[in-house]
Amino acid sequence: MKFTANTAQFSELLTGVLPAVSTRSTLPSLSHFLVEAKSGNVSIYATDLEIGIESSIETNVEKEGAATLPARRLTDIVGVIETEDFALAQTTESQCEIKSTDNKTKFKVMAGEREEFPVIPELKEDISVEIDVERLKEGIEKTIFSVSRDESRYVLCGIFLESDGENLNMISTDGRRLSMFKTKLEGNSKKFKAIVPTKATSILDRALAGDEGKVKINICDKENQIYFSFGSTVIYSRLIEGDYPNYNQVIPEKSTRTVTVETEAIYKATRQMTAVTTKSSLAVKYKFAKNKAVVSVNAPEIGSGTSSIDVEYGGDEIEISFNPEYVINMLKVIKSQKMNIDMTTAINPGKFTPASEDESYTGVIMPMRP
Amino acid sequence: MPYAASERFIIHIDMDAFFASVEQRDNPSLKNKPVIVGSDPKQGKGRGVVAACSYEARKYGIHSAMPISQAYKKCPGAVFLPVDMDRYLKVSEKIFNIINDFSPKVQVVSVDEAFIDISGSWHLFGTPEDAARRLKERIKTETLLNASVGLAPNKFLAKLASEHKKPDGFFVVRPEEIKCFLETLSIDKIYGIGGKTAELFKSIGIHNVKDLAGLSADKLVEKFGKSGLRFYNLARGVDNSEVEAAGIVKSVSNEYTFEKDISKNETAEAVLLKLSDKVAGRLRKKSLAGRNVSVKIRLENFKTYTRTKQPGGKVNTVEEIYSAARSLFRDFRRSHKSKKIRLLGVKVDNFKDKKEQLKLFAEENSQEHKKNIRLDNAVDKIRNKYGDGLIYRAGTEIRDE
Repeated sequence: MKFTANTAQFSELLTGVLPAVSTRSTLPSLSHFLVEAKSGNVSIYATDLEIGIESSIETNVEKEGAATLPARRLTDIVGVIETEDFALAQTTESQCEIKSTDNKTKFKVMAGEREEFPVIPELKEDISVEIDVERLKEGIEKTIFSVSRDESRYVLCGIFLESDGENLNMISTDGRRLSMFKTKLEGNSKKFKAIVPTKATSILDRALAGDEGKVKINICDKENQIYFSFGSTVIYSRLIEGDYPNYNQVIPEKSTRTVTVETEAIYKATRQMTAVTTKSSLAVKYKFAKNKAVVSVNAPEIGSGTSSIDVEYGGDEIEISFNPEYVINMLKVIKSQKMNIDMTTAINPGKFTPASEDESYTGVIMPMRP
Repeated sequence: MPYAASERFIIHIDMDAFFASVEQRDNPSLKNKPVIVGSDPKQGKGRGVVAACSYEARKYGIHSAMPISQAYKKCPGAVFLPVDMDRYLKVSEKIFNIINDFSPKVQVVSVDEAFIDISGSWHLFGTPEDAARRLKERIKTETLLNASVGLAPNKFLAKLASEHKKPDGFFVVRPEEIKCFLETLSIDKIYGIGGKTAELFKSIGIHNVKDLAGLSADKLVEKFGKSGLRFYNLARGVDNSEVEAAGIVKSVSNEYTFEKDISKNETAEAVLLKLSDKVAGRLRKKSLAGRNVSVKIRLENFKTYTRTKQPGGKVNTVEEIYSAARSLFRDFRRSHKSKKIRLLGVKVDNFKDKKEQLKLFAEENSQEHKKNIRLDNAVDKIRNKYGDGLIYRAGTEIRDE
């Protein structure tokens, strides 16, 4: 194997694949990149057996071939080369040489055993759909914060994708709050369901930054795998096995009390109140009366605080307490200037939605016992 | 009226040799004999402790909490009886029904001990002394058992008063008699002054309460910190602590001492399951559920460890309690592998309702959990009808090692 490439581009390529490199693995080969040069194209591949990233650039390949190289070392080495281009060449079975084009900087790196590197799963597909990059990014942003981090409830440790073939629902919940984002898919497909692990979605989110266009989603039910392909990158992940809870039943359909409020105003008031919340007095109380809301905290060991805001509301007075962190997280993803809060009683879930029809988001938070 | 409205009148009542007295009452052939209630002495090889003993047994130097083997050595001819808690509880219930006729402010200390604040109710009986005496008499006539009763302006003095003339005692400490009453008492009668602290006092020439009362508050605080102030007050008979209203169960626990110290984790876990089952059953009987699960582990060297965790939410099913107890136990064993285990205990507490986050899915309440609740309820029903021995969990059988 022998090729030359643009140093900056190649460095970016490596940094993009690095998140799939296993940080603590007993398999030494998993701390390596598989570098493969083939007809004008160099691809980098890494996997931790759960998630894999493959990404490539077009460049000048003198001699085709492949080698496994220590991922972090290679990234560091390419990062310190100062010439615009650099060259990588396999000198022996177990060694590669990397040098600047002015021949002033040279590195020799031990290559790993090629045979020990896991086989790249072949892209098999049962489902193939396309989605706009912007929509997928929005969906991840609006759901990733409410996934569960409790590994004992593994089915909740990912974003749930559910589609009737035309529309895609993205859902996350940790059992106390829930987020749902709805969007349209490009083209038609079969119905599908998939729980994508949090790690894969956050890697995807980072990889999509700055990208435009479409993402192709392939799901292989039999292998329990999902592939996201965009540009010259493919991210694949194992899916979480198991049944996602019936989320529809916890999203309140009807409510007896609907408050409309400036998103920014209620966000600010909630933020202000966290100045006096404590671990044991965490709850922030929202009292909604005619066109007025009082947000307050009472923490016996610290003190108390209140903040009043104007709202549009004509219903009966209601007091409800929420974990402010949950409210803040949700309000951060609602972009519309105004939003609605739907409630029934102090112990039933509150529903948070943008007032604008153009924005998709449904947030549900279970209150704290008063 | 000779008493000011602001004056407090507190009764301390303590049944005399309660378990043993119930046994003697129900079986007249045991009268005047040394009776020891507790675990099986097994010819002096038993490993439990004395739960209670009659006054006849006390003459041999036997007292409660003494290892049963030691009691056996002191008086092998005594009548040794197992603890028949159900029967004692029935008697206890009767006693507390009588106590409740005297005041609503009752602090239950144990099955046979209580503080009663009669400040607001004594006038119904004549004088505070009449009320206290009437209480003692009613217990005697209605249960045929002796109680020792103390009456004083506060809990500390009331307890000292009931001890003062025990058994079958009745003693009143009036405000003007406090100084005189306390002066003669030895220093270890003060709450919080036991073994080491008492030694410390003796080393500086403080032997009785009178000596203690001679020390300044500053000096006591300097030597004993916060407790010093308490010692200063108690030495003067000052105790403002309230009689804490009755019936508030703060924790439910159960423990088990092994016949022989054990080393296998499987044996320990079988016992933890059994204890969890008992604790869960008792919690449900009282309609309680707790946030904290603790295990107590005493090793062969008598070192005792307690480990606590919050499994999340309130628990009262065997499954929840056992899985928390087992994980605590396993964590503990990782760092204490080689030592044998002498005793295991399981406790659930923290029953208070707090502002807690509610759950979205009633499932948490998953199918599995619902099944566990149904199972536990069914077991409760069977046990209520046929007794505790009929049905038990597989896996609670303790095999010999």
